[in-house]
Amino acid sequence: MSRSAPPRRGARLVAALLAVCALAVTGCGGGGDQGGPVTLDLWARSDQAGFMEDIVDAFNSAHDDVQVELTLLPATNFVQKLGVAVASDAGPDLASIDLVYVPFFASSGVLADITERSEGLPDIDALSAPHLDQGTYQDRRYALPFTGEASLLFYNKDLFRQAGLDPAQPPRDWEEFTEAARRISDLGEDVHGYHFSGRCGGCNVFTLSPFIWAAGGNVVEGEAGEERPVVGEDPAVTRALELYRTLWHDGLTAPQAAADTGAQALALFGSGRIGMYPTGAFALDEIRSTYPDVDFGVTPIPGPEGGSSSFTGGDDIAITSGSDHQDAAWTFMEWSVRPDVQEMISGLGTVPIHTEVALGPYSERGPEYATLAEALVNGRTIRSVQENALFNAGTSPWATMIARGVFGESPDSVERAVAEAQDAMANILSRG
Amino acid sequence: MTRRRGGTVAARSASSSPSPPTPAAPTRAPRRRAEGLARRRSLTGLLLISPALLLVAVFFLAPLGLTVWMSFHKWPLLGTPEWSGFDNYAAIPGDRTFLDALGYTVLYTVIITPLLLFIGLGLAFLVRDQRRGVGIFRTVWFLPYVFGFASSAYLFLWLFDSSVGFVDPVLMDLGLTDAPVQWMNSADTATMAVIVMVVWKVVGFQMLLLMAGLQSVPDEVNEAALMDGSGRWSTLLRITLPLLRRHVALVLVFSVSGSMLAFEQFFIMTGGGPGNETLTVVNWIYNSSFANFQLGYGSALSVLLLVLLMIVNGIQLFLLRERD
Repeated sequence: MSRSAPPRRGARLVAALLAVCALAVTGCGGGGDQGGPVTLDLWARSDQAGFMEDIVDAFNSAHDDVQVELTLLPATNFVQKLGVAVASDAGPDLASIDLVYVPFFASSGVLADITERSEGLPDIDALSAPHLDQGTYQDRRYALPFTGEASLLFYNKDLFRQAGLDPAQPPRDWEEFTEAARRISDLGEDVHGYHFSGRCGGCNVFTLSPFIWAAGGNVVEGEAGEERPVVGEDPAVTRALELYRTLWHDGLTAPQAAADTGAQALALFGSGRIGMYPTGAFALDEIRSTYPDVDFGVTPIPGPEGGSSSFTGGDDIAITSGSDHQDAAWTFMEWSVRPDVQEMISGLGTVPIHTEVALGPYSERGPEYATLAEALVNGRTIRSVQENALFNAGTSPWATMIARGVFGESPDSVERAVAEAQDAMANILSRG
Repeated sequence: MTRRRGGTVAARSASSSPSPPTPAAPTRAPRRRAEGLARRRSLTGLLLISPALLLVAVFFLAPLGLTVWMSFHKWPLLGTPEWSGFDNYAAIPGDRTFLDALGYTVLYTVIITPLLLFIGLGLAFLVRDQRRGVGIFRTVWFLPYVFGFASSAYLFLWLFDSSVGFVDPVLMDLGLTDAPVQWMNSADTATMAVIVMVVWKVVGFQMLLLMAGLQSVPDEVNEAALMDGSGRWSTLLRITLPLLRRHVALVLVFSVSGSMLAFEQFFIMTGGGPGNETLTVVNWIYNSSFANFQLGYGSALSVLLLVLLMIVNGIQLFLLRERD
């Protein structure tokens, strides 16, 4: 889930200055209640710089009484930075939070309750359901959908042609998927059928969970705060890991997969020597602009006997409970989910979280966009107040399970890895 | 880590330096006056060391007390801490990740400590005597020690990189390997890479400590042994090393403590991977606290590690004590 659009230098400087301001006092300048426009602080991750700046500019030019100042924080420790700032009452008014972390923030009482405010939203039912679920904790609403992402299988049409596969018929089940990987790998020593970032918990939440879901399984169950891990009990987890294990041990996966922390994947696919690679909407635009020679298509991540699934990702937006400008902040939130705004955002590398926009104008832009929109609408996500500890952190049980199960030498690696992950996840959740 | 090390040095040198000469008690002066003088002197002494005491209290005792206090709480990063008694400590035996990390850290310590000691001792012998150019070698070997651990780790991460690194081409030119090694893909090779980095980085400091020890052994002692017909090896083993006991103890305490607290080198070079197989205890404490946001549990692990370190160092100092 890492994006690597390098932010502009000036923007970075401004962001750094803003961060300093924000830490020194709550909000530089924006006096707020003395008649002039209210200035809101919005914190987002640096890898979203591209579209965040455009969103904020659009809002500011359409509003006189409320202005938003964007602060970009490094993506790698956004959660810690936001957590510490909010805990010490130096947080922003608004925060755009990766939706997997929203249950954690919602459960710890640092987000403003917007249950009543959101009842007045005209088309709340048209917004992405997984995004809305993540923002709901114990029947209260703390966040709204903001930007969308969905995982798909990207495939190289040239390699499909060379391997005698029909680029118009991407794999629909695991057998076709493995067969395609095998035939592409046979094309040459440095050509491989598949690649995934084996040492990146977050990437595999985004791209491996759909294999598990499409096989009818799950990784955690229950409401956030009362969730229970099922990785050691659900046969679908074992099946998906065995699939990856075969791809790795039969040499159908690029050798870089075992050590890739997410930094290499896009460039490898862009090199034209990888047949298939699971990723999301951000890669669509990035591959087109950085590797224009790669002729690729996208298809849903398949299930073992057909069917498909996707991880619905992206961000929710929330008001912090310490903000002095709750009304003004709500103005921004309300504005950001409007269909026309979502349509504008969707031109900037994200999938609209307004389903009518996603399935309407966004899908009309081309077949890849239609597939992405479909995936977002039908996708799922992971609900846990300990998502980072269980899945995204480098030392998480999920990352360890993949490292040991998929890449391990022993034939019972998967069996042992899922059992260990089940124990480790239960242990983390029990400590609370 | 550096602060703790610095503290040990200061404490040791303070205790080993000769106590200031006590003024001869005036034979005829009244006792009371002498007592008053002594009291004033000790008051002055207290005043003089009070800045140091204050620093110790603020930067060592207070955080230590806070850590112990936190370890008895369920202490999330956000939200209010709750008293939880010994729950955090009771959860430790069930934490496989921690037990594995402890096992790995002990293994790493057991491998690297003798390596550092013997290489350090070897270098110390080479640079012990004052001769032409010896200063250059002392400087060259000591230089890596003044680099930051993090920057050294990054440097070696790239040296060991399989596509742009320097290590693989050298090994291949020497005919030791046929293809670039993916060093960080297996726990064994990743540990080797880290050990090479740490030896390069730290051994100069061990050399310096042992060199000072060697220089404090009077030449007459060695000469006398040689004249009595003792061979070079037996002089080394029976005369020089026993006289170096205190310096060896110091070097061992440094390297055992440093290795048990290893963090940056693994955090940067291996990230604990693959599959947590090179996860050290401090790495896991960091993750429990700042990835899992369980600060109370992280504190409990820290307190346990502190106790373990005290025991290990106590045993070492007991075994290496002066026996006369």
